Amino acid sequence: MKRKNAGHLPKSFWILVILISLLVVFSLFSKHLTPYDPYATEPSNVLQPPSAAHPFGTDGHGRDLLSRVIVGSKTSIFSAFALIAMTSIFGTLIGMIGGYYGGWVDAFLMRITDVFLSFPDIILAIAVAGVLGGGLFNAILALFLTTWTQFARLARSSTISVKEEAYIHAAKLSGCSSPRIIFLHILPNILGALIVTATLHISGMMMGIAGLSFLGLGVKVPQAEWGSMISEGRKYLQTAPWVAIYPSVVMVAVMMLFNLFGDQVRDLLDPKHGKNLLKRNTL
Amino acid sequence: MYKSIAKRLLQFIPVLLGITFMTFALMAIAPGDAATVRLSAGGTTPTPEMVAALQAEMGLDRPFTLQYFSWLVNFLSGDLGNSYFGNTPVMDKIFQALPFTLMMAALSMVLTLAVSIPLGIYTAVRRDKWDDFLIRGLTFVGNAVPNFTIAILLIYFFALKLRWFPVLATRDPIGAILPAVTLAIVMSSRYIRQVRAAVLDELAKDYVVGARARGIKEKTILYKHVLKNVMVTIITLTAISIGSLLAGTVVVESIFNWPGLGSMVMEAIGRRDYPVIQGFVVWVAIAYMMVNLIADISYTWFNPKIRDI
Amino acid sequence: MRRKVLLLALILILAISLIAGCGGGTSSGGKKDDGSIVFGSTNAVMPTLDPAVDWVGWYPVRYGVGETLFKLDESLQPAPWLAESYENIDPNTWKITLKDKATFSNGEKVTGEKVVESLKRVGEINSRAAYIQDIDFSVEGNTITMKTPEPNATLIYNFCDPYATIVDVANTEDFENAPICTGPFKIESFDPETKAVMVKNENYWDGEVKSQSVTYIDVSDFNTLAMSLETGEVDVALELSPEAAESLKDKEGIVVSQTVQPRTYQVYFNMETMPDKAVREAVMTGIDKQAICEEQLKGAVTSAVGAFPEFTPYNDKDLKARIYDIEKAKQILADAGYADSDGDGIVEKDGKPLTLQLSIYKRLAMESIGTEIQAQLKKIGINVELKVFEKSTYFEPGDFDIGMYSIVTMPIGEPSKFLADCMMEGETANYGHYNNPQVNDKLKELQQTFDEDKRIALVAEIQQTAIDDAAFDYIGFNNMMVAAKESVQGFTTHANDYYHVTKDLTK
Repeated sequence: MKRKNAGHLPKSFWILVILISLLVVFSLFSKHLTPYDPYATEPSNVLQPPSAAHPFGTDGHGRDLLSRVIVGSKTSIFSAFALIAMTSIFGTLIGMIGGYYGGWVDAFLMRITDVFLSFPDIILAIAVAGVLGGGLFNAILALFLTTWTQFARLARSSTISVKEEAYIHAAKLSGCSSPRIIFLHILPNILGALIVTATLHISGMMMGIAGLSFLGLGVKVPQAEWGSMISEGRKYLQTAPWVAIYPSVVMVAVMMLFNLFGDQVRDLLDPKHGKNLLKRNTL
Repeated sequence: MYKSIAKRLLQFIPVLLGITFMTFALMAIAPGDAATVRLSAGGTTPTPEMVAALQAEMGLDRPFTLQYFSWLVNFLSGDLGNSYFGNTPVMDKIFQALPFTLMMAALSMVLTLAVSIPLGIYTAVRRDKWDDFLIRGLTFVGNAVPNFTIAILLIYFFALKLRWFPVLATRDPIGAILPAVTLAIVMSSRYIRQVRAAVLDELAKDYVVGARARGIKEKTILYKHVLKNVMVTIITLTAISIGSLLAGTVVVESIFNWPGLGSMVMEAIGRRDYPVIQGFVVWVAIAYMMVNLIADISYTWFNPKIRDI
Repeated sequence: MRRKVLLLALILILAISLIAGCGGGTSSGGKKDDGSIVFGSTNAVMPTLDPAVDWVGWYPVRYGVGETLFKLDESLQPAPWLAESYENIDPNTWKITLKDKATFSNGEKVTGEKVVESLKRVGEINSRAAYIQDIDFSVEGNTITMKTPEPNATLIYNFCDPYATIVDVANTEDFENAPICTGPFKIESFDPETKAVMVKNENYWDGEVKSQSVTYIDVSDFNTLAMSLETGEVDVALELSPEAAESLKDKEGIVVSQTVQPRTYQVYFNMETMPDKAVREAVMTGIDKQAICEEQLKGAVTSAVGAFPEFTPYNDKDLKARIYDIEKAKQILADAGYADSDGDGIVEKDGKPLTLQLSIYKRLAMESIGTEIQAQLKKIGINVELKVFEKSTYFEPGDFDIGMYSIVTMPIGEPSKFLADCMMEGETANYGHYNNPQVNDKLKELQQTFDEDKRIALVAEIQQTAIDDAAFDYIGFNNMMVAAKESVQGFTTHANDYYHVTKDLTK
């Protein structure tokens, strides 16, 4: 499969792009879009079933669940994006430096990468967030530590395969500085694969944040986040099931959207998609 | 080939050092002083004198690197220290919990393979028919549902409502079923798609086309040739998913009250039992590395063409 | 090559089934109903059983294994248990007479010498019992005479503390797993932090034990615990969360009971970071305890003004405290110069918004209460930053403007130690740096006062002064929720939660 031009992208791709952009913008401004204050408690109104006033019902503190799900989108979606941005930039940088310079620099950087890679999945994140004592920032830091290696590995191998190409040699001979070559000549050529990996990881990051929060290692009360809301809802599974159901349904729907988008991007940009076994599905 | 294995083993050493260093560093980033944490584990507030005495005893006043090396020496001799809570050796705790995690992980692996190999092949053969779409649709949903949600639903329906399984199956083999099913649902959602893709890849190959041209039965082609070649994909998948499997056990074990490593580490985190957290992390990392190493070596064994492992 | 693949696949499957098989083989037991009465709790089994260590003593006493010289009655006053009676000869001398019929589970008689040996061991091991080291014991037949270097008004109360469980020190081989005590049950098997199985003590000194066996199991969380009672896997679910208790309330064949405990949610104000008394008063006036306790927590906490519950003699009905009044709270802030000048809903003074850090930790209803307080104080214009820690020991004492702690105010039925720890200058639990010389003096006086009425009066004065100073507030008392199958009889729920199993327990 050849890389297609933007002009030939299928309609379904654009629909997904629009949907996802809307979702991201929505999550960014979610604070101003809630029908109620998601943190205003009302003890006289706890665990109300869904109604016209509260379409998703209320939780154990009488807070409007719809408002909390909306505000939770920022924690879940926006954090996942921020996390992916940070890890991909950092990992790519390390990988490109290693791949470009080779030698001991490469060996050193790759051994460090190996060390981080040898902690399976989010085990390290659980330990780090656990030891640091939770909180959204610590959870993001913990997931950062476990994810950047993917990008470093990928960027390195792509850089190695690109750097022997004639135009890179030409650039070197014409006296371009190393940073210039890395950013202007190599990066654009390996960007495709990196974007695929990044898109495929967004849902994994969301799952990671939700998972840590579910375990009590992510956000803390009273912050709204889908994973912790589901965990909270477990308490009321028998008496007020909607507290767990609505955040779950919304989360699954958003995850599906991102998975669909990831698959689309992969089909469009990555010629050997069938071999991409490394897709992680954290927690 | 042997040379590349040897090289790989040599690379193992610095990584191992790195793993142990990272694990030890976990303690350093931990808030609070280890001596105080250990002394207050029983619920009483220690006096400053007690803390100072224990700090000296634990060697916390020494430089960081020195502390690391003495920890490393102990670690290499199989001593990971004692739990702050109850003073049990960490190794004992790990070996007590390990069989339960292995049992559940193995069960979920067997379930996963038992479901996804046949379904993967079936969907490939029935490509673009209604049942292919249905199964693929289900795996698509399965891929988006967090494992904790699946776990909650399973407990609610199968343990509480239908009572097919006990809620508290501590140590009872029957209790491994629901957590294993949870993980199997998550993993199968990925496996079915991968197996399907691998079978489709294989079916498009020249030898299949040739065999069909020679009039060999479709079933024979599928079972005699395609399946064997798809096995490599499956083994790769198995090796790769050990990592997410291990991570998944942490979540489901704590939900299902299953006394494995996952429950152990979550309990240790809740109590700030640093030596237990360290022990867990370092052992999981080493085990995971070993599995990957074995998988890599076995590829070389199967396919001598691969030199760069 | 394909043969190799198959071979490897075979080996893999074989290995997996082997591991699975082994795992299955080594796990013991089943959920066969062997008649044992099963108690489940999220906090049922400790790493050890040695009653002298830290707070472990609670567990053998709960299990019906350990017994102490005296036992706290319903109103938390000491009553004889292994002891027959006591006599306070002079402020420094106590005489305790033991019950003649009392025996250990191995049939040995509980003698004065054995009791002294057991108590001395506790004094050496437990830092909370270090005072025992200074006691001068002398034994004469069934009576023990104790001389303390300083007058100790609470000595008998101290012997109710489960650490003072009487153990047959000479004959116990394994204190960690099988201490020999005097209760209706004895340890059969002990699996640290997982399970403790007790069997009937055939030699029980106080009559026939009705049941053959009792089991305590650790359950990871409240939801699982509630469900396991519903499915019949446990007979009694102890210390349930309010939500879990709620989910069991209407279930057939299950009885949910609640017991008010002297465990309060004590609010400390940090006197160093919140020197402005008006702010502290505004906070106290702005918290609606009624709404938190009755509506949000559905009665899982009983709202209070003081530190001691109604059923104890130290509860003071005349205590004058601030009551919830949102307008008054706003007025107090306004009078002190706080006003919302930028319209963001938060009041400012000298251009600085009024932000307070509320530190809590994950214990019982703490997170729920913290969430409510945060929302309530926002209504009067105070911005509360909620900091949640895993445990109380995970943050520096005083790392807060407002700190909330879940504290047992009368752990042995007696308030003086609690009050001194929290309120006396420089004491271990005085996290808010409260220092009022008047209170310090009265606390010292309390420690040396033997007369009950005088003690009660002193406690009331101390509490009133501390409240007037706006240094402490109390949200309310925890209600311990226990759910059990209807058929279970003969277990007790005591306010201090360390008496569960009795000889009359049946199911």
